Amino acid sequence: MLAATAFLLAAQVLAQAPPQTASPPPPPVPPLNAAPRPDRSPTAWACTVDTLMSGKDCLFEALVEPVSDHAAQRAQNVRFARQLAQAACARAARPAPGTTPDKALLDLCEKEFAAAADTCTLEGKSVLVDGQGRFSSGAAPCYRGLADVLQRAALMSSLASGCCRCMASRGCKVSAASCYANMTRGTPGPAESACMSGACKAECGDAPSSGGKPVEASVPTRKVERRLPPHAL
Amino acid sequence: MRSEPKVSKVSKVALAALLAVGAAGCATGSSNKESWDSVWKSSRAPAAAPAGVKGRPVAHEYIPPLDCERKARALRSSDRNAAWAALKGCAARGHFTQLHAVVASWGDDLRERPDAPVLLTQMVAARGGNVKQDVRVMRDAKIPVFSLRDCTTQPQLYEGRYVMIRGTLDEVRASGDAVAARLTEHTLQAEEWEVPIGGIRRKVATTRYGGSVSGKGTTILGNGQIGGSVDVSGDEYEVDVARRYDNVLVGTGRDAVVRVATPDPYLENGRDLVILARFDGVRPSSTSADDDEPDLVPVLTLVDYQVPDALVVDQ
Repeated sequence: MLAATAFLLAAQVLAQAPPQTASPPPPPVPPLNAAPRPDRSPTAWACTVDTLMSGKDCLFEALVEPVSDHAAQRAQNVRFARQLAQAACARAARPAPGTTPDKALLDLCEKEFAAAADTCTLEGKSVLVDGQGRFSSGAAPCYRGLADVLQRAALMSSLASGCCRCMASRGCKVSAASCYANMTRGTPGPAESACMSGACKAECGDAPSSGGKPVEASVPTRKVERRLPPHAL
Repeated sequence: MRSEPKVSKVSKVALAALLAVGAAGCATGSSNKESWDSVWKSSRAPAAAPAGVKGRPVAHEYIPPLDCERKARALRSSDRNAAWAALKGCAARGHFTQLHAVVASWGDDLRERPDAPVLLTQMVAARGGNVKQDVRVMRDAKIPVFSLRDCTTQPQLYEGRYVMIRGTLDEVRASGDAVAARLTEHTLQAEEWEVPIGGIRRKVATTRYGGSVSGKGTTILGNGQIGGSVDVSGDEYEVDVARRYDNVLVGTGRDAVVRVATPDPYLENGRDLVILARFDGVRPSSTSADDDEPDLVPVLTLVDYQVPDALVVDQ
């Protein structure tokens, strides 16, 4: 009984005591005439596998050390990028959150992702990602290539997945690749049009009349706006 | 090395002395400001009490900001630390907008003292946060605080330097202990608009024109009669207007990523702030469409922030 009371008391005292792991005080602010010391460490906005999959904009910043064995690094970079294919495509090929990935689209995505990953050598001069999973600044072209594949897959899954799945299940003679590509563009080929007006009318909607404008034509093709426009500099 | 507790003590003493001067000034009347100097010299002792007004709390006395700065400056020749503490005391009382006087007379202190960057931020915010104008005032006095435009134009030259920005923070991201937010820069711009003054005069008028014409057997059409009426109505308003000018915030098109070293629950997302930060260089962005010429985003480390006053001070 006494021991229990002592324990409870000690627990209460400990609970009231200030936490031992209090965050350290902020570093003092250097005066204005102090020697400039920029912090070149990566921020929370660094490009990672998570930003690649989510499509969020980010900054290429990583803690990169010099590489001695370029051949080995080249192979390792490609291997790492290829390893991302399954998880990244599984997320992109979901027609809606919480649904299962579209198997045919998943295969297409993984194939394209692997092809894009083969360009991620960085010529073995630098690591693709640092120890914290942040893409290095040299990895920008590779990152964009992989992101393009995932964006296309996500667009196809939202626009064409239901229709192409239906066509496949009803035995329409259309290839998966052309179905996803054509239906996303809004320009179904003859085989797809035939199936659309028959078995898969509910999933695909009405077949557009010939000569109709593809969906992409209505999407602005303007170049992505620069963050720092030249006139601002 | 300075001892902070000592400075703090000195600060209290200096402020008390300043306030005593202010109290004396109020007691002697606003037209007799020069006599404050004599009061100041005679009441430099730390125990200086509000000699002019018996029983009135010292802290409630008002010293105009310009006088406050002048009194603090007068202390510099004898005790530089006390003078600096007094100047900080002036700023702590609020509405301290004497940027021109401070950069002109306190340049060495502003460059050397670690609490000077925060004092400058307080002053710029108290002046309404016209950062573009105030950074130019500092630059002209060779006080090394720069603009985001400077940093993005010549990143290597300004790396590690202080930068002052007016803008809003949003989209906070965390990775482990690291926290960073996106900063969107704004600038103040005058906008002209018209406001009605006095009463509105309204004139409503309706006029009716009518008549008829008749004729008898003089034409091939035979007898006939034509008649009709026309109503003309008017509704006029007359109002006197005056031109007014207001400051509006407009985006500069520049943005940055700001590293927040210590979590701050009072740092409000989406609120317009005067921000003092250190420029840590630029990083290539994932939104670049061109690999050869990537878009570069400035990275900053937050040092201090203040809410700008609504009233902009020009001088």
